[in-house]
Amino acid sequence: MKSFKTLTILAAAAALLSLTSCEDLLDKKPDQLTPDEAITNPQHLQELLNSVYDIAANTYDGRLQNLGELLGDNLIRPTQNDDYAEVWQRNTIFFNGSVGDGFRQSYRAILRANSVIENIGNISLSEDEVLRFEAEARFLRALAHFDVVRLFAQPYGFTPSNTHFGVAIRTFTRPDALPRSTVAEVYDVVISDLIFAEANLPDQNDVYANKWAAKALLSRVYFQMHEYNLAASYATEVIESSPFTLADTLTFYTWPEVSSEAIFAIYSAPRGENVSDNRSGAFRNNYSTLVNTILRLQPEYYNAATTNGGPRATFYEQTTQDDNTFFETNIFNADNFHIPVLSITEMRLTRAEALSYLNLNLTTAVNDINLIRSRAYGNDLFNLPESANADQIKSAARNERRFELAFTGDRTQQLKRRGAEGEDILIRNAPWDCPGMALQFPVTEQVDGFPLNPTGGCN
Amino acid sequence: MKSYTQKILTVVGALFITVSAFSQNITGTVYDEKGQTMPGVTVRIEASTKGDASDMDGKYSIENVAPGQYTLVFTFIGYKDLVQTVTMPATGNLTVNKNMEVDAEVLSEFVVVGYGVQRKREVTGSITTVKPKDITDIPAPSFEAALQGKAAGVQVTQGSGMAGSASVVRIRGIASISAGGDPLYVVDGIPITQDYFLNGNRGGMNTNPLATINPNDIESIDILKDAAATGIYGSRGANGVILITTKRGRNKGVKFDFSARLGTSHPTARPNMLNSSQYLQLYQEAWENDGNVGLAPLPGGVSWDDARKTDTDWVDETIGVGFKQAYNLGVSRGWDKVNAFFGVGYEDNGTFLIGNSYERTSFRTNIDWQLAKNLKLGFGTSLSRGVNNRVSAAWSGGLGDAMSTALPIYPIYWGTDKYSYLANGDSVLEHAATDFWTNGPNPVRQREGQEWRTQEWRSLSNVRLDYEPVKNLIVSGSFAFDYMDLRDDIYTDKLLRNANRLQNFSSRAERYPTWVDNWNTNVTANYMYDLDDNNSFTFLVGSEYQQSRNRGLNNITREDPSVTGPFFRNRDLLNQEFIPQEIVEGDTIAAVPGFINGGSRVTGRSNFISYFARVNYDFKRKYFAQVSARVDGSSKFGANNRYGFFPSASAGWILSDEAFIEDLGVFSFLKLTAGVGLVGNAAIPDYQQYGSFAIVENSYNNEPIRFLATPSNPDIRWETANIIDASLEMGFFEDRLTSKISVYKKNTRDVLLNVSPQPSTGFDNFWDNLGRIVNQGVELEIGANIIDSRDFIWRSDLNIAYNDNKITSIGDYSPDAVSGGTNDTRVVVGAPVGTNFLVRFSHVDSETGRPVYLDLNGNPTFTWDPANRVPIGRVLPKAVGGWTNTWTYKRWEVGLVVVYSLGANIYDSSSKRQLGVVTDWNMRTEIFDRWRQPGDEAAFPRLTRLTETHGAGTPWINTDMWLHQGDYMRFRRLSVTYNLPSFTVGAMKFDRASVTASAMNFFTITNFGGLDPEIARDFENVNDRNMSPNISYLTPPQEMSFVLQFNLNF
Repeated sequence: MKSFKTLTILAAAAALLSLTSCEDLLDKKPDQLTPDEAITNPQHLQELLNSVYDIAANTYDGRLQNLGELLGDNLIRPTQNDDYAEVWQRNTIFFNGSVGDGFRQSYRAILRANSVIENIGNISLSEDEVLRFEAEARFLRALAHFDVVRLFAQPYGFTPSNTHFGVAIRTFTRPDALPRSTVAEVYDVVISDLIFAEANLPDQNDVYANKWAAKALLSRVYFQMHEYNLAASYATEVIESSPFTLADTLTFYTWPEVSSEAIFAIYSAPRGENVSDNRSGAFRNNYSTLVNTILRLQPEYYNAATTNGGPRATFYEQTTQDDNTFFETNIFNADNFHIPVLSITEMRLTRAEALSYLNLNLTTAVNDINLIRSRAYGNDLFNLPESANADQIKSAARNERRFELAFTGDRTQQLKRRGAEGEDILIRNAPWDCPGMALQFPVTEQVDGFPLNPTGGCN
Repeated sequence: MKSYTQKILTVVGALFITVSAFSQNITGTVYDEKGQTMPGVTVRIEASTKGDASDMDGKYSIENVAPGQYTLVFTFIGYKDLVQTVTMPATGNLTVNKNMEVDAEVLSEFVVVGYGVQRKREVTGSITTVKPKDITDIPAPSFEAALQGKAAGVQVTQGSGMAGSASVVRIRGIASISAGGDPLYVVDGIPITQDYFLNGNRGGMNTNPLATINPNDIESIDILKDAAATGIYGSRGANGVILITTKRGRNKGVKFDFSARLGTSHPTARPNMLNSSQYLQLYQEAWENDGNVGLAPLPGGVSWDDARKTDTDWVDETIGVGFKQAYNLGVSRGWDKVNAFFGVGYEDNGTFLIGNSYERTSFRTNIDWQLAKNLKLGFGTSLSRGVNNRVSAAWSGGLGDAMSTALPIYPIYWGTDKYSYLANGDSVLEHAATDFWTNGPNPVRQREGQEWRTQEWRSLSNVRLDYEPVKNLIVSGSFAFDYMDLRDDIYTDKLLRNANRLQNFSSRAERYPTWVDNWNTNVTANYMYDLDDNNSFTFLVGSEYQQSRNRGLNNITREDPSVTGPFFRNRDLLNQEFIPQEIVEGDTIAAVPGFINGGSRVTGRSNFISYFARVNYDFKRKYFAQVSARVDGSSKFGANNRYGFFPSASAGWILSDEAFIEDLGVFSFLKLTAGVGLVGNAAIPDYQQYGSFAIVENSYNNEPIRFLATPSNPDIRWETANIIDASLEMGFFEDRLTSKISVYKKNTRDVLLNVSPQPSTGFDNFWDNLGRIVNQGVELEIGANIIDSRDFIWRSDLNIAYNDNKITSIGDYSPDAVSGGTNDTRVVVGAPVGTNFLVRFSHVDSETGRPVYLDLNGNPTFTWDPANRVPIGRVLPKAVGGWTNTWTYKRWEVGLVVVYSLGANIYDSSSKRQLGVVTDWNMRTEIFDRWRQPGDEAAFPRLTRLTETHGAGTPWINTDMWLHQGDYMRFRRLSVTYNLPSFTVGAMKFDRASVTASAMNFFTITNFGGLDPEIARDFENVNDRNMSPNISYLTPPQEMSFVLQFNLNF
């Protein structure tokens, strides 16, 4: 009897215990969105697309451009930024934080672009919208793949068929390990993305990518590939048909207005008087002469940039400390400015140089150069004569390009391009294709089938 | 089981009151085994209701006893019952004085186990109990610091000298990498919130979630080490469990326990940085070594003239003498059916870092109420407030700057007025002479310009009902609530925000608030069943539900002219309506009016649903067996792995009760135990199974954005440890000498790794169950009363634990794929968790003065290439332990605690910048032993500002040059106590009083040349905490303190 009572109580206790067995309690979903519920309407997709611009803005705020610039011959060795000093020495190791950051930022943009493309089919959109979303995503993906392959691999033309190692091509969001594609394969993907973007992007698109941006980027890509005909024709299309025009004032780092010649710009949206959603920090914080300047100029660059005087020379200053003189630029001193990624200036200089290679339409090329020169010097004294030959034009285009596109990393890529084309190019006494001219990948990029770059060899 | 103890207590405390006509009394005094008077002993006349309990002086009196023969019984828990036959004479009173004897078997007592208590004799798992006196003897705010050296196999590395910093506690090695490696802390049955990263790593410090628990409120700490002991905690038992039991009221009457403590704080070591002339000389030497001529451009734009006139000792500017004080009062009160404990405490723990202190105010009450004969209600609650007055340290500044980038050539103040000239030729005052110098790190300016307070409110409460519906069946229900309100308030004055008088930034107030509520409820049924005299069973079944919610706002910030102090002093600033009229140029403007970041909300939620059962079997009080099992379901586990099952089995055998052992005549006690079981570790962040999309409301082009941040993993689950353990307990010479040897092996699989996939995936990290780790070891404890006379006692306890740790798998990933934040350790198969992975340094080339490294094949090379890294050095010690001594002479007591750690390396990470390439870091005086000319044999290479000289492109050159032996033996505490006899002051009668003078960390034996061999640096994340203890990076040294303490009992 007693044991029966015990049993009864045990049974009751067991029943009590099982009260808490509510399976649903174990489903604790985060307040944050989960991937399966994040994109359910067009607005969500637009926000997802905007996140690609966001990451691009945090990539082209100077941090990617600085890496390219440091490899070149415009700057002296930075004394205050160890990562940058390592890039400047062209001996980056796989722990370099700034290099890794530039790499990761670019691929974050690619991930988000792929996320847009994968989500387009999940919501109902008009056919135009479907194409626009995909075209914007593919433009941004192409921009990122192109810049990564230029910085982390030897240039196009380094091997005859471009079968040398490029970077990973990412066209899906799955976090699978991927091998290293060849440079040719990467350029193929970039061009196919841009051809699609060119065809499907709108004519005008607020601060976002429009079809002229795709064409301008195609011009840049083909220029890098030594395809001067295509480079010139895309440049011509942009110069002549787009709403963008060469700026009257010299600087295109403007604010709050975007420069009239910025085909595609990183936009620091105004958020009040003299305040913006600032997307230019990596330029300002490294170059500004108002703070502890980190990136300083080669004396040779300074002399060449200032020797003829004129408005462009006012971008440069010199300072002394004890026995030492330093040369600096004030071009990034402003608190706020937009950053043109693709500009009419670049298109004109690309066209001029491309035409000089082709030895075609040289008057157009001379006109391009002279527009730039008269703006830079404030007079026509240094203009090319109408009769200038192809070599003179080429030399003038390259010279102007160094100063007009200074600090964008363009100079380094031009030297590599020319080296790959057979010119005997030395960059700070090292061959254009010494191993360290390709930045090293972050260490975890290395897997089976993905070898790291060889290091050093540039000193 | 718990109520069983309390029943005994109640019986002991019961008061027998009788009324009688006789006027003769039996009186006397009861003494303990040391001859001290003993309160609370029950003295009764057998077979009657007459009796008394001894008072605070050990005196008792049984009144109105008729002449005749009686049997007196003296009882007290933990002591042998004393029975004495006495005869009351026809006239007069009778005096009976007695000395009680400790009952080794009983006093050894009860051990708190999961969901109950067990007699120590019957325990089959590995459990170490730490007593209250050992918990409060160290003037650290947090109790876990005091566990160091007191329990075998429990490695405690004290937090650095920063106030309130957290210790790293590891039980039997480390078996986790990305998941939390700390033991589970359970306070009065509640698994408490124990996240060290609620506030990240801000200011070079992690929040210590244990610091608000007042050690003076703790009755005992039981450390569960093996699967037999922790199996009942299932998926959370793998890294051990620390059970904390708070004090409860006992006995009738009222008893006060008061203590006051005063002390000072000093660093155990001072950094040996160069002074100004030394720095200038060596900096110029580097400049010239690099082939330059003229004077080197100095860091911070300082001219040589100014540099020569300046010599700031930044260490002196950041280190001083800290002051400590603490006051605690505990009150134990007993009535007929109610026992209560009240504790209040205040302490202010200043440290040697100027401006740094941890203050705690705490209150606790625990009440037990016997509602009916078979029904008892227990209630406990605590409320405490910890205020950490913060200063920056390590990488964040303060002393860290003094050890690195605050150069002796930098002044504190400008010294002269500085003007700048405008384009029109006008001059404006840029810096006044008395303004803080701003061209480089200035720790004084940083401290004066910042007010930083971390405040934590913490409350731990529980209600418990024990009901015994039939004999031997106890059904218990418990409901508990753990609440934490953590606020980090940082105020940055405009003096710190503006580099000169031309800038016009406003002051900034920031707040990082976090709230954690943690609910726990469980129901258990415990049934004791005696089949016959030889066979007894105890059955436990139970279920538990726990829910934890963590809410926070990221960085509420304001910077506008109305900000004049931190938010806690200007609550108006938190009001969104309170929008400044005027915006100063340079201030960042809020998207939400008034706020730069209105505080994006972060929420974490997780829960556990668990079922458990345990059966204990006792055969002839000699053979014991236990099986337990737990099923844990948790929202942290992926949909494909919702529930885990965790069984354990163990047995114990009291060999000394066997004739063949008794016949040996060697052992007074001998017990063998062995156990095996599966336990888990579920310390994974919330929601990892889902993946995440992030939303930012106001982003590019002032539009919202959303993006994929982490991929989902529906397979994620707990780590599983398979633990085998065996122990042998021995007692000799009537247990005057005791010893325990344990061996264990712990195989952990499905180790959680927060892996870094290829960066080109666009993802930074995600969680996966990938690794395998083996820990195995031996523990030895020896305790003895070496001298045991009436006047002089020498008690000595020694423990040592050896642990071998090895990673046996990390899936397909490389050693670098497990992101370690800032640590310089890696996950390498075949090496222990936390292996330094370094390029080997060979020597300084005597011809060129350049460092020579070894490549993978051991060939010398001038090139430093991280591809040549090898696993070398271990951050976990091979052996740790402690040696505790107490010498008691009459009223004097001297205590000495020595702790030691053997076989670990220390990676002195900051020395690569203090002693490597010459940069804008100050150097240490060891650098004097440098190469200067061909033929020199020097410890350090030629001074250079060029990283190429060191064969690298960066000054962050990790080599084993900075890896040192980390063995140490530290005199943790030396104390001298004088115990006063009971005395009376006016109407107040004091039972006991004592004065103790003690010195902490006053002497350390080590080969380590850096600051302090005991290092728990600031950690970036859990990986870091598991893998990088013993990596020092500008880490402040430990604290040395001198303390005077007064104790009063009345």
